Amino acid sequence: MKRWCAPQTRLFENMNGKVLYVGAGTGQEIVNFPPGLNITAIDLSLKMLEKARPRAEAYNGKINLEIMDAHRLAFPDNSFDTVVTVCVFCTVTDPVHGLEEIKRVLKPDGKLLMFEHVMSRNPLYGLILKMMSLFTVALEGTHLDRNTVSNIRKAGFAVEKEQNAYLDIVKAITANPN
Amino acid sequence: MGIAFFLTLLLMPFFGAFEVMIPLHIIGMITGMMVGMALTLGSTPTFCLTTLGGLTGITVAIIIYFSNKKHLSPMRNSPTNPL
Repeated sequence: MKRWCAPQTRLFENMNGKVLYVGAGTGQEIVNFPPGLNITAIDLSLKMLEKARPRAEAYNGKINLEIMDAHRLAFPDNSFDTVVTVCVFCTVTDPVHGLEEIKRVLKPDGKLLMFEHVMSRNPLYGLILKMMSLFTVALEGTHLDRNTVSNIRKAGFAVEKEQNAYLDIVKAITANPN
Repeated sequence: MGIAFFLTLLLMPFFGAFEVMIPLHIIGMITGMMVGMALTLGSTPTFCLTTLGGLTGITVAIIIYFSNKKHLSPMRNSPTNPL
């Protein structure tokens, strides 16, 4: 994740308190997390979490790895101060429902930090993303044409900030549940 | 377009998925169109077609470079900017 190191590091500076890291995957982003946090990292895949384990153990803080579905978070309401996602909501089956679950477990004064690739507003870039999405959905379930910012709003979040990292396709998004 | 797709898969691990996908597909579409039109006009030297493809590639790369700079500018990233 060296390519996205700078925008991710800037986004993750906002992480504080008790953190939920949804869709940890292989944990590539852990190297960009600020130190000293208490993080619960979840993923649907045990194999992915096994690959994330060395990175989690090397982190200068605490990371607990758990197998969990983003659509059904096994945490009480208002559990976390920060929820972080990185390139997850292109693959989640029902993104709005997943975001509603995140809103449920996020404290009212908490923050949602997302680093995601989204559909472009440029018609030419959008056409290319839609074309390539046909292949990526079939091969690995990744949608390149999701309007994630709109989904965040549909789930009841207020978008505080959108920072472009590449064109208007890769974005760092900060939202709150109010 | 087929070549663009193949090159995308080849270059993605080195330069990034979106950084390769977007320019290569635009180049593929434009170059493919122009080569197709040139071929219908009669036999066109390969050198001319290659130069056309190269110039298209450079032009598209420059446009996307400046487009990206514009998207990264503070105005575009303002919290109140609906973009």
